Amino acid sequence: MRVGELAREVCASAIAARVSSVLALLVSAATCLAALLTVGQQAAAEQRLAQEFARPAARTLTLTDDNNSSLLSSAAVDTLRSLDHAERVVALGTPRDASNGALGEGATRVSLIVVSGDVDGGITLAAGRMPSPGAAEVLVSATAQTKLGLAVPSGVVETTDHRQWSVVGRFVPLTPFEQLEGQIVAIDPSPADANREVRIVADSVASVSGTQAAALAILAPNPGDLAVQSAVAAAATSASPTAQLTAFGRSLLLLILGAGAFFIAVVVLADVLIHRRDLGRRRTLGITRADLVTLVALRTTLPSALGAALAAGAGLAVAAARSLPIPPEFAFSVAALATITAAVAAVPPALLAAWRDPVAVMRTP
Amino acid sequence: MNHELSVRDLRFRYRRSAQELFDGLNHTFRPGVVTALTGESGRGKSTLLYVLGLLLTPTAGAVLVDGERASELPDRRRSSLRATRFGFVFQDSELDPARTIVDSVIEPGLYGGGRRALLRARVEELLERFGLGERADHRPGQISGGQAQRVALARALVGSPGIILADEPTGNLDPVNAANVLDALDDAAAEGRVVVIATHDPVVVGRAGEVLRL
Repeated sequence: MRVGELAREVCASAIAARVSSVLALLVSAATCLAALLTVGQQAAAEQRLAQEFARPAARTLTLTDDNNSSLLSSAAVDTLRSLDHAERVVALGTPRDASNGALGEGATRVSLIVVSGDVDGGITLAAGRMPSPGAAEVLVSATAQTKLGLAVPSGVVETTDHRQWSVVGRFVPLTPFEQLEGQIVAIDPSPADANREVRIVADSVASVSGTQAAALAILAPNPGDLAVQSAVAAAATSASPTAQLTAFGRSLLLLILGAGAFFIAVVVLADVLIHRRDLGRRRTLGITRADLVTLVALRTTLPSALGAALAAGAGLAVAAARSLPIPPEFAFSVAALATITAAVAAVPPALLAAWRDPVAVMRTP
Repeated sequence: MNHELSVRDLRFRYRRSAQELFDGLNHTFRPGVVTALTGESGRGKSTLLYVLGLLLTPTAGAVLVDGERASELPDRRRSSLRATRFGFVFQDSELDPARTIVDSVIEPGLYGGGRRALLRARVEELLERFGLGERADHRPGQISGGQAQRVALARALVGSPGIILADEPTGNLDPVNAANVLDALDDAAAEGRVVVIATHDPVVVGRAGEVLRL
Protein backbone atom coordinates (compact mmCIF):
# COMPACT_ATOMS: atom_id res chain seq x y z
CA MET A 1 0.00 0.00 0.00
CA ARG A 2 1.33 3.44 -0.85
CA VAL A 3 2.34 5.58 2.15
CA GLY A 4 0.01 8.42 1.19
CA GLU A 5 -2.94 6.06 0.75
CA LEU A 6 -2.12 4.35 4.05
CA ALA A 7 -2.03 7.75 5.80
CA ARG A 8 -5.42 8.61 4.31
CA GLU A 9 -6.76 5.23 5.36
CA VAL A 10 -5.46 5.82 8.91
CA CYS A 11 -7.33 9.14 9.13
CA ALA A 12 -10.54 7.73 7.63
CA SER A 13 -10.36 4.70 9.89
CA ALA A 14 -9.74 6.82 13.03
CA ILE A 15 -12.78 8.95 12.20
CA ALA A 16 -14.92 5.88 11.42
CA ALA A 17 -14.03 4.14 14.71
CA ARG A 18 -15.32 7.08 16.75
CA VAL A 19 -15.76 5.34 20.10
CA SER A 20 -12.29 3.83 20.27
CA SER A 21 -10.74 7.04 18.91
CA VAL A 22 -12.46 9.15 21.57
CA LEU A 23 -11.43 6.66 24.27
CA ALA A 24 -7.82 6.70 23.07
CA LEU A 25 -7.91 10.50 23.05
CA LEU A 26 -9.31 10.64 26.60
CA VAL A 27 -6.89 8.05 27.99
CA SER A 28 -3.92 9.78 26.41
CA ALA A 29 -5.10 13.19 27.62
CA ALA A 30 -5.65 11.85 31.14
CA THR A 31 -2.21 10.23 31.14
CA CYS A 32 -0.56 13.41 29.96
CA LEU A 33 -2.47 15.64 32.38
CA ALA A 34 -1.83 13.35 35.35
CA ALA A 35 1.88 13.23 34.51
CA LEU A 36 2.05 17.00 34.14
CA LEU A 37 0.25 17.82 37.36
CA THR A 38 2.07 15.27 39.51
CA VAL A 39 5.48 14.71 37.96
CA GLY A 40 5.49 18.35 36.86
CA GLN A 41 5.10 19.41 40.49
CA GLN A 42 7.84 16.99 41.48
CA ALA A 43 10.08 18.39 38.78
CA ALA A 44 9.29 21.92 39.86
CA ALA A 45 10.05 21.06 43.50
CA GLU A 46 13.28 19.42 42.40
CA GLN A 47 14.16 22.48 40.36
CA ARG A 48 13.40 24.78 43.31
CA LEU A 49 15.55 22.66 45.61
CA ALA A 50 18.39 22.61 43.10
CA GLN A 51 18.10 26.38 42.69
CA GLU A 52 18.14 26.80 46.47
CA PHE A 53 21.33 24.78 46.75
CA ALA A 54 22.84 26.55 43.75
CA ARG A 55 22.42 30.02 45.34
CA PRO A 56 25.74 31.76 46.11
CA ALA A 57 25.02 31.68 49.85
CA ALA A 58 25.00 27.88 49.75
CA ARG A 59 28.28 27.87 47.85
CA THR A 60 30.12 30.31 50.12
CA LEU A 61 33.08 29.44 52.29
CA THR A 62 34.12 32.02 54.91
CA LEU A 63 37.61 31.98 56.45
CA THR A 64 38.10 34.28 59.46
CA ASP A 65 41.39 35.12 61.12
CA ASP A 66 40.17 35.59 64.70
CA ASN A 67 43.71 35.25 66.10
CA ASN A 68 45.23 38.07 64.02
CA SER A 69 47.79 35.58 62.74
CA SER A 70 48.15 37.42 59.38
CA LEU A 71 47.36 34.27 57.42
CA LEU A 72 44.95 36.15 55.12
CA SER A 73 47.48 38.38 53.38
CA SER A 74 46.93 39.88 49.93
CA ALA A 75 49.32 37.25 48.52
CA ALA A 76 47.19 34.52 50.10
CA VAL A 77 44.08 36.06 48.55
CA ASP A 78 45.74 35.99 45.11
CA THR A 79 46.57 32.30 45.62
CA LEU A 80 42.98 31.52 46.60
CA ARG A 81 41.71 33.29 43.47
CA SER A 82 43.64 30.80 41.36
CA LEU A 83 41.81 27.77 42.82
CA ASP A 84 40.00 25.79 40.09
CA HIS A 85 36.53 25.92 41.57
CA ALA A 86 36.70 29.41 43.13
CA GLU A 87 34.14 31.52 41.26
CA ARG A 88 35.09 34.67 43.22
CA VAL A 89 37.20 35.49 46.25
CA VAL A 90 36.57 38.67 48.22
CA ALA A 91 38.74 39.71 51.17
CA LEU A 92 37.52 42.06 53.90
CA GLY A 93 39.85 43.96 56.24
CA THR A 94 39.29 44.83 59.87
CA PRO A 95 36.41 47.34 60.15
CA ARG A 96 37.12 50.75 61.61
CA ASP A 97 34.80 53.63 62.51
CA ALA A 98 34.33 56.62 60.24
CA SER A 99 32.13 59.72 60.35
CA ASN A 100 31.22 62.63 58.10
CA GLY A 101 34.38 64.83 58.02
CA ALA A 102 32.29 67.96 57.59
CA LEU A 103 30.33 67.42 60.81
CA GLY A 104 33.27 66.89 63.18
CA GLU A 105 33.07 65.32 66.67
CA GLY A 106 29.76 63.68 67.62
CA ALA A 107 28.75 62.74 64.08
CA THR A 108 27.20 59.30 63.56
CA ARG A 109 29.79 56.62 63.08
CA VAL A 110 29.69 54.06 60.30
CA SER A 111 32.16 51.22 59.84
CA LEU A 112 34.66 51.37 56.97
CA ILE A 113 36.10 48.19 55.52
CA VAL A 114 38.94 47.74 53.05
CA VAL A 115 37.91 45.30 50.33
CA SER A 116 40.25 43.43 47.96
CA GLY A 117 40.22 40.45 45.64
CA ASP A 118 37.31 40.06 43.19
CA VAL A 119 35.68 43.34 44.23
CA ASP A 120 33.28 43.19 41.23
CA GLY A 121 31.89 40.00 42.73
CA GLY A 122 31.15 41.67 46.06
CA ILE A 123 29.67 45.02 45.18
CA THR A 124 28.33 46.88 42.19
CA LEU A 125 28.50 50.62 41.52
CA ALA A 126 25.13 52.40 41.77
CA ALA A 127 26.26 56.03 41.46
CA GLY A 128 29.49 58.00 40.97
CA ARG A 129 32.69 56.17 40.09
CA MET A 130 34.87 53.40 41.46
CA PRO A 131 37.69 54.53 43.79
CA SER A 132 41.16 54.65 42.24
CA PRO A 133 43.20 51.66 43.45
CA GLY A 134 45.27 52.59 46.51
CA ALA A 135 43.85 56.14 46.70
CA ALA A 136 42.08 57.43 49.84
CA GLU A 137 38.69 57.11 48.19
CA VAL A 138 35.60 55.21 49.32
CA LEU A 139 32.09 54.17 48.28
CA VAL A 140 29.13 54.38 50.60
CA SER A 141 26.04 52.21 50.69
CA ALA A 142 22.63 53.89 50.57
CA THR A 143 22.15 53.25 54.31
CA ALA A 144 25.61 54.56 55.16
CA GLN A 145 24.97 57.65 53.01
CA THR A 146 21.86 58.41 55.05
CA LYS A 147 23.61 57.75 58.37
CA LEU A 148 26.49 60.03 57.38
CA GLY A 149 24.04 62.78 56.39
CA LEU A 150 25.27 63.00 52.82
CA ALA A 151 22.67 64.32 50.36
CA VAL A 152 24.65 62.85 47.49
CA PRO A 153 27.36 60.16 47.51
CA SER A 154 30.09 62.77 47.67
CA GLY A 155 32.08 64.39 50.45
CA VAL A 156 34.70 63.43 52.99
CA VAL A 157 34.68 60.86 55.78
CA GLU A 158 37.23 60.70 58.56
CA THR A 159 38.32 57.55 60.37
CA THR A 160 39.24 57.44 64.04
CA ASP A 161 42.93 57.58 63.09
CA HIS A 162 42.15 61.07 61.64
CA ARG A 163 42.71 59.85 58.09
CA GLN A 164 40.37 61.46 55.55
CA TRP A 165 38.72 59.60 52.67
CA SER A 166 36.92 61.11 49.69
CA VAL A 167 33.45 59.69 48.98
CA VAL A 168 33.34 59.10 45.18
CA GLY A 169 30.19 57.00 44.73
CA ARG A 170 27.53 54.69 46.06
CA PHE A 171 27.56 50.87 45.92
CA VAL A 172 25.07 48.05 46.25
CA PRO A 173 26.32 44.79 47.84
CA LEU A 174 25.90 41.56 45.87
CA THR A 175 24.86 38.18 47.28
CA PRO A 176 26.37 36.84 49.57
CA PHE A 177 27.93 40.12 50.71
CA GLU A 178 24.73 41.73 51.99
CA GLN A 179 26.50 42.47 55.30
CA LEU A 180 28.26 45.33 53.50
CA GLU A 181 24.95 47.20 53.31
CA GLY A 182 25.20 50.00 55.88
CA GLN A 183 28.97 50.28 55.53
CA ILE A 184 31.65 52.26 53.76
CA VAL A 185 34.12 50.38 51.55
CA ALA A 186 37.60 51.30 50.43
CA ILE A 187 39.17 49.29 47.63
CA ASP A 188 42.80 48.35 47.93
CA PRO A 189 44.23 45.58 45.74
CA SER A 190 47.19 45.10 48.09
CA PRO A 191 46.29 46.26 51.57
CA ALA A 192 49.23 46.64 53.90
CA ASP A 193 47.29 45.12 56.78
CA ALA A 194 46.33 41.46 56.59
CA ASN A 195 42.65 40.76 55.94
CA ARG A 196 40.36 39.64 58.69
CA GLU A 197 38.00 37.63 56.56
CA VAL A 198 38.03 35.98 53.13
CA ARG A 199 34.92 34.74 51.39
CA ILE A 200 35.24 32.20 48.61
CA VAL A 201 32.20 31.52 46.43
CA ALA A 202 32.64 28.07 44.83
CA ASP A 203 31.29 27.44 41.31
CA SER A 204 28.93 24.71 42.55
CA VAL A 205 27.64 23.35 45.80
CA ALA A 206 29.42 20.08 45.06
CA SER A 207 32.82 21.75 44.90
CA VAL A 208 32.52 23.58 48.25
CA SER A 209 34.08 20.72 50.18
CA GLY A 210 37.07 20.37 47.84
CA THR A 211 37.59 24.12 47.75
CA GLN A 212 37.55 24.28 51.56
CA ALA A 213 40.15 21.51 51.82
CA ALA A 214 42.36 23.18 49.21
CA ALA A 215 42.09 26.61 50.87
CA LEU A 216 42.95 25.28 54.32
CA ALA A 217 45.86 23.25 52.94
CA ILE A 218 47.28 26.44 51.41
CA LEU A 219 46.61 28.86 54.27
CA ALA A 220 46.48 27.03 57.58
CA PRO A 221 48.51 23.92 58.07
CA ASN A 222 47.36 23.77 61.69
CA PRO A 223 43.70 23.21 62.40
CA GLY A 224 42.27 26.05 64.43
CA ASP A 225 44.45 28.79 62.91
CA LEU A 226 41.45 29.98 60.91
CA ALA A 227 37.76 29.83 61.71
CA VAL A 228 35.80 28.24 58.88
CA GLN A 229 32.13 28.65 58.05
CA SER A 230 30.80 26.83 55.04
CA ALA A 231 27.82 25.08 53.44
CA VAL A 232 29.67 21.77 53.19
CA ALA A 233 27.11 20.00 55.32
CA ALA A 234 24.33 21.48 53.24
CA ALA A 235 26.14 20.39 50.10
CA ALA A 236 26.45 16.87 51.44
CA THR A 237 22.78 16.66 52.34
CA SER A 238 21.56 18.39 49.19
CA ALA A 239 22.39 15.41 47.02
CA SER A 240 20.12 13.12 48.99
CA PRO A 241 16.71 14.88 48.71
CA THR A 242 17.42 15.90 45.12
CA ALA A 243 18.23 12.32 44.16
CA GLN A 244 15.20 11.04 46.05
CA LEU A 245 12.92 13.53 44.33
CA THR A 246 14.38 12.62 40.94
CA ALA A 247 13.92 8.90 41.55
CA PHE A 248 10.39 9.40 42.87
CA GLY A 249 9.45 11.60 39.92
CA ARG A 250 10.83 9.03 37.48
CA SER A 251 8.93 6.18 39.15
CA LEU A 252 5.74 8.22 39.22
CA LEU A 253 6.06 9.08 35.53
CA LEU A 254 6.67 5.43 34.64
CA LEU A 255 3.68 4.40 36.74
CA ILE A 256 1.39 6.93 35.05
CA LEU A 257 2.64 6.04 31.57
CA GLY A 258 2.31 2.33 32.40
CA ALA A 259 -1.29 2.81 33.48
CA GLY A 260 -1.95 4.84 30.33
CA ALA A 261 -0.37 2.13 28.17
CA PHE A 262 -2.52 -0.52 29.83
CA PHE A 263 -5.76 1.35 29.19
CA ILE A 264 -4.77 2.16 25.59
CA ALA A 265 -3.96 -1.51 25.00
CA VAL A 266 -7.37 -2.51 26.41
CA VAL A 267 -9.14 0.05 24.20
CA VAL A 268 -7.30 -1.14 21.07
CA LEU A 269 -7.85 -4.80 21.96
CA ALA A 270 -11.58 -4.19 22.34
CA ASP A 271 -11.58 -2.28 19.06
CA VAL A 272 -9.76 -5.11 17.27
CA LEU A 273 -12.18 -7.71 18.64
CA ILE A 274 -15.27 -5.64 17.81
CA HIS A 275 -14.05 -4.84 14.28
CA ARG A 276 -12.65 -8.30 13.59
CA ARG A 277 -14.73 -8.74 10.43
CA ASP A 278 -13.53 -5.42 9.10
CA LEU A 279 -9.92 -6.48 9.71
CA GLY A 280 -10.59 -9.97 8.30
CA ARG A 281 -12.09 -8.41 5.14
CA ARG A 282 -9.01 -6.25 4.72
CA ARG A 283 -6.72 -9.29 5.02
CA THR A 284 -8.84 -11.23 2.53
CA LEU A 285 -8.77 -8.35 0.05
CA GLY A 286 -4.99 -8.25 0.22
CA ILE A 287 -3.69 -5.85 2.87
CA THR A 288 -0.34 -7.05 4.19
CA ARG A 289 0.21 -7.77 7.87
CA ALA A 290 2.71 -4.90 8.13
CA ASP A 291 0.21 -2.44 6.65
CA LEU A 292 -2.53 -3.73 8.96
CA VAL A 293 -0.34 -3.34 12.06
CA THR A 294 0.59 0.18 10.92
CA LEU A 295 -3.04 1.01 10.27
CA VAL A 296 -4.27 -0.18 13.67
CA ALA A 297 -1.37 1.35 15.60
CA LEU A 298 -1.53 4.71 13.84
CA ARG A 299 -5.30 5.04 14.01
CA THR A 300 -4.84 4.85 17.80
CA THR A 301 -1.78 7.10 17.83
CA LEU A 302 -3.53 9.86 15.90
CA PRO A 303 -6.28 10.60 18.48
CA SER A 304 -3.79 9.91 21.28
CA ALA A 305 -1.46 12.59 19.93
CA LEU A 306 -4.38 14.99 19.74
CA GLY A 307 -5.40 14.17 23.32
CA ALA A 308 -1.83 14.58 24.58
CA ALA A 309 -1.47 17.92 22.81
CA LEU A 310 -4.74 19.19 24.27
CA ALA A 311 -3.74 17.95 27.73
CA ALA A 312 -0.34 19.62 27.46
CA GLY A 313 -2.04 22.92 26.65
CA ALA A 314 -4.56 22.45 29.45
CA GLY A 315 -1.82 21.40 31.88
CA LEU A 316 0.20 24.52 31.11
CA ALA A 317 -2.91 26.66 31.59
CA VAL A 318 -3.68 25.01 34.94
CA ALA A 319 -0.04 25.34 35.99
CA ALA A 320 -0.06 29.02 35.08
CA ALA A 321 -3.31 29.56 37.01
CA ARG A 322 -1.89 27.79 40.08
CA SER A 323 1.56 29.39 39.68
CA LEU A 324 3.24 26.01 39.21
CA PRO A 325 6.55 26.48 37.44
CA ILE A 326 6.07 23.78 34.76
CA PRO A 327 8.25 24.63 31.77
CA PRO A 328 6.58 24.32 28.31
CA GLU A 329 9.35 22.02 27.07
CA PHE A 330 8.54 19.62 29.94
CA ALA A 331 4.85 19.68 28.96
CA PHE A 332 5.68 18.99 25.31
CA SER A 333 8.08 16.20 26.30
CA VAL A 334 5.38 14.55 28.43
CA ALA A 335 2.89 14.90 25.54
CA ALA A 336 5.40 13.27 23.16
CA LEU A 337 6.05 10.52 25.69
CA ALA A 338 2.30 9.88 26.15
CA THR A 339 1.88 9.68 22.36
CA ILE A 340 4.80 7.27 21.97
CA THR A 341 3.41 5.18 24.84
CA ALA A 342 0.02 5.00 23.10
CA ALA A 343 1.67 3.96 19.83
CA VAL A 344 3.69 1.24 21.53
CA ALA A 345 0.68 0.03 23.56
CA ALA A 346 -1.36 -0.30 20.36
CA VAL A 347 1.16 -2.61 18.71
CA PRO A 348 0.40 -5.90 20.56
CA PRO A 349 -3.37 -5.77 19.77
CA ALA A 350 -2.48 -4.71 16.22
CA LEU A 351 -0.22 -7.75 15.89
CA LEU A 352 -3.06 -9.92 17.19
CA ALA A 353 -5.33 -8.45 14.50
CA ALA A 354 -2.75 -9.07 11.77
CA TRP A 355 -2.07 -12.66 12.81
CA ARG A 356 -5.67 -13.76 13.37
CA ASP A 357 -6.92 -16.25 10.84
CA PRO A 358 -9.06 -14.15 8.47
CA VAL A 359 -11.04 -17.21 7.37
CA ALA A 360 -12.07 -18.03 10.94
CA VAL A 361 -13.01 -14.38 11.45
CA MET A 362 -15.00 -14.13 8.21
CA ARG A 363 -16.85 -17.38 8.78
CA THR A 364 -17.83 -16.50 12.36
CA PRO A 365 -21.08 -14.52 12.44
CA MET B 1 -5.82 -11.33 -17.94
CA ASN B 2 -5.72 -15.07 -18.74
CA HIS B 3 -4.43 -16.54 -15.48
CA GLU B 4 -4.26 -20.22 -14.76
CA LEU B 5 -5.28 -21.55 -11.39
CA SER B 6 -4.70 -25.16 -10.44
CA VAL B 7 -4.26 -27.44 -7.46
CA ARG B 8 -1.88 -30.38 -7.19
CA ASP B 9 -2.27 -33.30 -4.75
CA LEU B 10 -4.24 -31.00 -2.48
CA ARG B 11 -5.05 -31.98 1.08
CA PHE B 12 -6.20 -29.80 3.95
CA ARG B 13 -7.00 -30.34 7.59
CA TYR B 14 -8.06 -27.75 10.13
CA ARG B 15 -5.81 -27.59 13.17
CA ARG B 16 -8.26 -29.16 15.62
CA SER B 17 -10.01 -31.46 13.18
CA ALA B 18 -9.38 -35.11 12.46
CA GLN B 19 -11.03 -34.88 9.05
CA GLU B 20 -8.79 -34.41 6.06
CA LEU B 21 -10.33 -32.67 3.06
CA PHE B 22 -9.86 -32.93 -0.74
CA ASP B 23 -8.08 -36.33 -0.75
CA GLY B 24 -5.15 -35.27 -2.94
CA LEU B 25 -7.23 -33.21 -5.36
CA ASN B 26 -5.74 -32.35 -8.76
CA HIS B 27 -7.60 -29.84 -10.87
CA THR B 28 -7.03 -26.94 -13.24
CA PHE B 29 -9.52 -24.08 -13.28
CA ARG B 30 -9.62 -22.72 -16.81
CA PRO B 31 -9.94 -19.08 -17.84
CA GLY B 32 -13.28 -18.24 -19.45
CA VAL B 33 -15.12 -20.96 -17.55
CA VAL B 34 -17.36 -20.61 -14.48
CA THR B 35 -16.62 -23.50 -12.16
CA ALA B 36 -19.13 -24.43 -9.47
CA LEU B 37 -17.75 -26.09 -6.33
CA THR B 38 -20.53 -28.13 -4.85
CA GLY B 39 -21.12 -30.99 -2.49
CA GLU B 40 -22.72 -31.78 0.82
CA SER B 41 -22.21 -29.54 3.83
CA GLY B 42 -18.85 -30.17 5.50
CA ARG B 43 -17.15 -31.36 2.35
CA GLY B 44 -15.05 -28.18 2.24
CA LYS B 45 -16.55 -26.02 -0.53
CA SER B 46 -15.78 -22.71 1.19
CA THR B 47 -12.54 -24.10 2.60
CA LEU B 48 -11.34 -24.96 -0.93
CA LEU B 49 -12.26 -21.44 -2.00
CA TYR B 50 -10.12 -19.93 0.77
CA VAL B 51 -7.28 -22.36 0.02
CA LEU B 52 -7.46 -21.26 -3.64
CA GLY B 53 -7.48 -17.65 -2.39
CA LEU B 54 -4.22 -18.27 -0.51
CA LEU B 55 -5.85 -17.52 2.85
CA LEU B 56 -5.44 -21.10 4.09
CA THR B 57 -2.26 -23.10 3.60
CA PRO B 58 -2.70 -26.68 2.32
CA THR B 59 -1.61 -29.48 4.63
CA ALA B 60 -0.15 -31.17 1.56
CA GLY B 61 0.05 -30.35 -2.12
CA ALA B 62 -0.06 -26.86 -3.56
CA VAL B 63 -2.08 -24.14 -5.22
CA LEU B 64 -0.48 -22.96 -8.44
CA VAL B 65 -1.12 -19.54 -9.95
CA ASP B 66 0.28 -19.32 -13.49
CA GLY B 67 2.41 -22.34 -12.69
CA GLU B 68 3.97 -20.81 -9.54
CA ARG B 69 3.42 -22.68 -6.25
CA ALA B 70 1.66 -19.67 -4.75
CA SER B 71 0.48 -21.41 -1.58
CA GLU B 72 4.12 -21.79 -0.54
CA LEU B 73 4.98 -18.10 -0.91
CA PRO B 74 5.56 -15.88 2.13
CA ASP B 75 2.52 -14.06 3.52
CA ARG B 76 3.53 -10.71 2.01
CA ARG B 77 3.63 -12.17 -1.53
CA ARG B 78 0.37 -14.03 -1.01
CA SER B 79 -1.28 -10.81 0.21
CA SER B 80 0.02 -9.04 -2.86
CA LEU B 81 -1.36 -11.78 -5.13
CA ARG B 82 -4.75 -11.57 -3.41
CA ALA B 83 -4.85 -7.83 -3.97
CA THR B 84 -3.77 -7.90 -7.60
CA ARG B 85 -4.78 -11.21 -9.19
CA PHE B 86 -7.77 -12.32 -7.13
CA GLY B 87 -11.21 -10.85 -6.68
CA PHE B 88 -13.37 -12.03 -3.77
CA VAL B 89 -17.16 -12.04 -3.50
CA PHE B 90 -18.63 -13.01 -0.14
CA GLN B 91 -22.10 -14.32 0.66
CA ASP B 92 -23.22 -11.16 2.44
CA SER B 93 -21.15 -8.67 0.44
CA GLU B 94 -19.01 -7.61 3.46
CA LEU B 95 -19.11 -3.88 2.75
CA ASP B 96 -17.71 -1.51 5.36
CA PRO B 97 -20.73 0.43 6.70
CA ALA B 98 -18.53 3.48 7.34
CA ARG B 99 -17.34 3.77 3.73
CA THR B 100 -19.12 5.13 0.70
CA ILE B 101 -19.76 2.74 -2.20
CA VAL B 102 -16.88 4.31 -4.13
CA ASP B 103 -14.46 3.82 -1.25
CA SER B 104 -15.60 0.22 -0.77
CA VAL B 105 -14.95 -0.60 -4.42
CA ILE B 106 -11.57 1.14 -4.42
CA GLU B 107 -10.32 -0.74 -1.32
CA PRO B 108 -8.54 -3.77 -2.87
CA GLY B 109 -6.99 -1.54 -5.54
CA LEU B 110 -5.27 0.43 -2.76
CA TYR B 111 -3.95 -2.76 -1.17
CA GLY B 112 -2.50 -3.66 -4.57
CA GLY B 113 -0.45 -0.45 -4.59
CA GLY B 114 -2.81 1.62 -6.75
CA ARG B 115 -3.44 5.35 -6.40
CA ARG B 116 -6.91 6.44 -5.42
CA ALA B 117 -7.01 9.11 -8.12
CA LEU B 118 -6.14 6.61 -10.86
CA LEU B 119 -8.52 3.95 -9.56
CA ARG B 120 -11.42 6.37 -9.40
CA ALA B 121 -12.13 6.23 -13.19
CA ARG B 122 -12.14 2.42 -13.13
CA VAL B 123 -14.52 2.40 -10.15
CA GLU B 124 -16.94 4.78 -11.85
CA GLU B 125 -16.87 2.62 -14.99
CA LEU B 126 -17.66 -0.51 -12.95
CA LEU B 127 -20.45 1.18 -10.99
CA GLU B 128 -22.01 2.39 -14.24
CA ARG B 129 -21.74 -1.11 -15.65
CA PHE B 130 -23.57 -2.56 -12.65
CA GLY B 131 -26.20 0.19 -12.66
CA LEU B 132 -24.92 1.82 -9.50
CA GLY B 133 -23.52 5.06 -10.93
CA GLU B 134 -25.94 7.21 -8.96
CA ARG B 135 -25.25 5.35 -5.74
CA ALA B 136 -21.51 6.05 -5.71
CA ASP B 137 -21.61 8.31 -2.67
CA HIS B 138 -24.17 6.28 -0.74
CA ARG B 139 -23.28 4.04 2.15
CA PRO B 140 -24.09 0.30 2.33
CA GLY B 141 -27.00 0.96 4.67
CA GLN B 142 -28.66 3.06 1.96
CA ILE B 143 -28.73 0.38 -0.77
CA SER B 144 -30.53 -2.96 -1.18
CA GLY B 145 -29.01 -6.41 -0.69
CA GLY B 146 -28.90 -7.01 -4.43
CA GLN B 147 -27.20 -3.70 -5.01
CA ALA B 148 -24.73 -4.43 -2.21
CA GLN B 149 -23.78 -7.71 -3.86
CA ARG B 150 -23.26 -5.89 -7.18
CA VAL B 151 -21.02 -3.44 -5.32
CA ALA B 152 -19.09 -6.44 -4.01
CA LEU B 153 -18.75 -7.70 -7.60
CA ALA B 154 -17.46 -4.29 -8.69
CA ARG B 155 -14.98 -4.43 -5.80
CA ALA B 156 -13.82 -7.86 -6.93
CA LEU B 157 -13.17 -6.55 -10.43
CA VAL B 158 -11.54 -3.20 -9.59
CA GLY B 159 -7.96 -4.42 -9.87
CA SER B 160 -8.75 -6.25 -13.13
CA PRO B 161 -7.89 -9.61 -11.54
CA GLY B 162 -7.70 -12.80 -13.56
CA ILE B 163 -9.36 -14.95 -10.89
CA ILE B 164 -12.73 -14.40 -9.19
CA LEU B 165 -13.61 -16.47 -6.13
CA ALA B 166 -17.20 -16.26 -4.94
CA ASP B 167 -18.55 -17.87 -1.78
CA GLU B 168 -22.32 -18.45 -2.06
CA PRO B 169 -22.73 -15.09 -3.85
CA THR B 170 -26.46 -15.59 -4.38
CA GLY B 171 -27.19 -17.11 -0.97
CA ASN B 172 -28.98 -14.04 0.38
CA LEU B 173 -30.58 -12.78 -2.85
CA ASP B 174 -33.99 -13.11 -4.48
CA PRO B 175 -34.08 -14.90 -7.88
CA VAL B 176 -33.97 -11.69 -9.92
CA ASN B 177 -30.96 -10.25 -8.11
CA ALA B 178 -29.32 -13.69 -8.03
CA ALA B 179 -29.70 -13.91 -11.84
CA ASN B 180 -28.12 -10.45 -12.20
CA VAL B 181 -25.14 -11.47 -10.09
CA LEU B 182 -24.69 -14.71 -12.02
CA ASP B 183 -24.91 -12.80 -15.30
CA ALA B 184 -22.13 -10.53 -14.05
CA LEU B 185 -20.00 -13.52 -13.09
CA ASP B 186 -20.62 -15.07 -16.54
CA ASP B 187 -19.50 -11.79 -18.10
CA ALA B 188 -16.35 -11.80 -15.93
CA ALA B 189 -15.57 -15.32 -17.15
CA ALA B 190 -16.34 -14.37 -20.76
CA GLU B 191 -13.64 -11.69 -20.44
CA GLY B 192 -11.11 -14.47 -19.86
CA ARG B 193 -11.18 -14.81 -16.11
CA VAL B 194 -11.13 -17.91 -13.95
CA VAL B 195 -14.39 -17.82 -11.98
CA VAL B 196 -14.92 -20.26 -9.11
CA ILE B 197 -18.17 -20.28 -7.14
CA ALA B 198 -18.72 -22.27 -3.96
CA THR B 199 -22.44 -23.06 -3.88
CA HIS B 200 -25.14 -25.51 -3.00
CA ASP B 201 -27.69 -23.69 -5.19
CA PRO B 202 -28.84 -25.96 -8.05
CA VAL B 203 -29.52 -22.89 -10.23
CA VAL B 204 -25.90 -21.81 -9.94
CA VAL B 205 -24.67 -25.35 -10.54
CA GLY B 206 -26.95 -25.61 -13.56
CA ARG B 207 -25.55 -22.45 -15.13
CA ALA B 208 -21.88 -23.30 -14.44
CA GLY B 209 -19.62 -24.31 -17.32
CA GLU B 210 -17.90 -26.83 -15.08
CA VAL B 211 -18.90 -28.51 -11.83
CA LEU B 212 -16.41 -29.79 -9.30
CA ARG B 213 -18.21 -32.01 -6.83
CA LEU B 214 -16.45 -32.51 -3.48
